[in-house]
Amino acid sequence: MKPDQISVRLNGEALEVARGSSLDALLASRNIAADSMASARNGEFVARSARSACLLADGDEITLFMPIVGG
Amino acid sequence: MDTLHLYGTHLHSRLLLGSAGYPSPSVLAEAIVASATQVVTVGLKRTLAGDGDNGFLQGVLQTLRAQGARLLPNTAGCRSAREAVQLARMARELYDTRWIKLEVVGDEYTLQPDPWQLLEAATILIAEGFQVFPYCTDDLVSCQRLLDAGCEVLMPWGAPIGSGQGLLNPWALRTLRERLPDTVLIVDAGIGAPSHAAAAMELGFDAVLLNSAVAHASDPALMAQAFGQVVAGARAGYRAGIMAPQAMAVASTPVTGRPFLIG
Repeated sequence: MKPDQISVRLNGEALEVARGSSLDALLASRNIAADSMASARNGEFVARSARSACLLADGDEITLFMPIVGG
Repeated sequence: MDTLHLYGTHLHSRLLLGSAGYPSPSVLAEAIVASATQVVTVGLKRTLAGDGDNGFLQGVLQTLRAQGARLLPNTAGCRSAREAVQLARMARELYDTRWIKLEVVGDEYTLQPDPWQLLEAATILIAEGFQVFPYCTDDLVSCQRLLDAGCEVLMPWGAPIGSGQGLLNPWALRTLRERLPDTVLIVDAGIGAPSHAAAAMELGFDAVLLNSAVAHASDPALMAQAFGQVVAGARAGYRAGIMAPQAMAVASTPVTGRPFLIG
């Protein structure tokens, strides 16, 4: 891994991203329809409005949630 | 007018319907319309590659808009207060509602709610402005603690989720109704037949929430209609005042003794 990169996991998939990347930028780079998903970092909810200020750290686990039917 | 009050929202339907397990989005939409429900439960889940729900939810949303109904997102699958709080926050963002059906399961076999984790999560969420609909057991004291925490609605189980066994402990449910006369009580889970829903309404419960009984019927729309009708009918029966059972026969026809003084 290059020194200017960090390793994160997005929905379980290992990725390398530039150090200092925001959650917003990560989602945009993956062409994810971010407005239709809720996001969490290491199990903690990150609101849409907070994604741009959420800077990723090495080892972060990013999880996205989508609406589904339910009982 | 006899309306159901849920956190300041007044509804005429007392049937809350789940949206999971239907054979197709169109059948789900038909069931929502046939039931005349005004509250439909939905969920959220971790996204995996290629995930989707085959258009089920979009169908729900369109039907709900046409029907003027509301969404009640749940925290299904949570095993701790921490998980449930995080999921509730996501649900509020995704569905743009403060309503949350709070589920925290404590046992994998029965899917029984964990009363301690449930109370902890409810306390946190209410402080954050959520309007919490806790899926709880029929234990009176744990229900009282949820009320103390600020819940205005309680949703005790009738039987384990998806079991269709009906009201396994009518005594506990009757006790809840008697001890919590001003609380909105909704039987959630375990209802398998319209007669089960009628029994809950005749106990004085304010509403019922069910899913599998409709979704798994041979004709979900017809079953949804049946539940809608029976819930309304049993509610009217409860309000009308159900007669007290008698130990022995009491003749109803006002005859004067025997018709003939022979034999």
